[in-house]
Amino acid sequence: MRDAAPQLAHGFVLTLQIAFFGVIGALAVGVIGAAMRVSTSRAARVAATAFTEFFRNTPPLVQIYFLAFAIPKIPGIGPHLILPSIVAATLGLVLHQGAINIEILRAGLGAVPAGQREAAQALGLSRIDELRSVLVPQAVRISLPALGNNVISLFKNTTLVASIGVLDIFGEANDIIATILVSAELFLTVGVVYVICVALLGALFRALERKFALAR
Amino acid sequence: MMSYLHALPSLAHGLGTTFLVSISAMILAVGIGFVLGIVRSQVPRAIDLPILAVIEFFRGIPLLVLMYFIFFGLPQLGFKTGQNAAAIAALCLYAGALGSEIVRGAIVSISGGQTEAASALGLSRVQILALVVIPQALRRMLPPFVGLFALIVESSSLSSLINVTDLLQTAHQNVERDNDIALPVYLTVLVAYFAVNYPISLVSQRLEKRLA
Repeated sequence: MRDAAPQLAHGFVLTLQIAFFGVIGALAVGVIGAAMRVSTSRAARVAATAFTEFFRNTPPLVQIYFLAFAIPKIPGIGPHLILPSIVAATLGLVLHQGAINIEILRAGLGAVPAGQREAAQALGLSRIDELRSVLVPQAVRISLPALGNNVISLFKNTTLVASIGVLDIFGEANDIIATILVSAELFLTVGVVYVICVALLGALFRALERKFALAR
Repeated sequence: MMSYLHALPSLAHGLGTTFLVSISAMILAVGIGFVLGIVRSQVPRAIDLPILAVIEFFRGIPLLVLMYFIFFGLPQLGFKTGQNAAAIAALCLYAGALGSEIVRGAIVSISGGQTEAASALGLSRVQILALVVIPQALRRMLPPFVGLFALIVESSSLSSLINVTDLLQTAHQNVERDNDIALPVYLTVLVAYFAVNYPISLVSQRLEKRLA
């Protein structure tokens, strides 16, 4: 078990990197998608809704497989779209968790009281200023708990990247088991690492919620 | 193309296994959810804390790690499990932990005035729970439990990684045999999961609006 530690630590660093880029990517998808869902263009609304529903209702593991194994088979352009495993895996997480973020942020925007929008319009704010200064700050506060849960869910889903051969902490564990077979304690160790990380993330988001709570 | 058409019956069979695993896990998760949720809503905080710790553990551990632990790890400790049983066990522990929060939350949201009124009428504690609180709480549990089923169906795809011949594993096997059909096969799998889960999540949203 002690011999396995350096290899697990190495994998853990990769897990953190994938989680970091995954969270940033999913947040970007969420913001852009939610902006499209409330835009005045019908085409943008329909496209964003279709994206949300499709990627939210399909398993992230299947999305990762699709990006890694099916996209390169598209006739003509496919061979140019062969992604490195780690990129395909991270992108799959971004698509799934990003779609959930769109839904969370859209619901957050919808939950801002109508009076706020009316007041912003009465003050003569442009649509952009209304969103930027009035609606988005409140929507983000409302959405914070759900966004936090989604970050945690993405963090746990980083284990899926091992399924296409990326050596994150879980992939490294599998690799060790393939050579020396001590799976029970190894998986328990990896599991405990995740449980601790998830507890820390949970505490971080509860602190953020308290910090940004609206005065009541 | 012929090869893709030949793959379809096996994909349908795989979808059947996906349903079998998901529905079994859902039934067990509802059971676990009700037992733990009801107990947690009734016991003092000192007894609740260790139960909460166990629930947080199963919510925090990634499902795939839990599944691998049960399938590859437990046999070393003397508990042999088949792949379907291991997949169902991991899914129902994870979903049961989430389900217990659904049940506890719904019961707590109903308690209060209802409990006081019922005890003023002379009902015993068990009667209050069984006749007054839980029937009302059921309405609030329904939408999140439907949503939980969609999550189980989605998560059941992980069982392909411990060789359960579910929809995804069947697709994988077909592509191994003929790499040229990867695109239509995986596209079919994506569409199939969507066709199952989209209606479920629509039902969950509708129920939430109607029962709110």
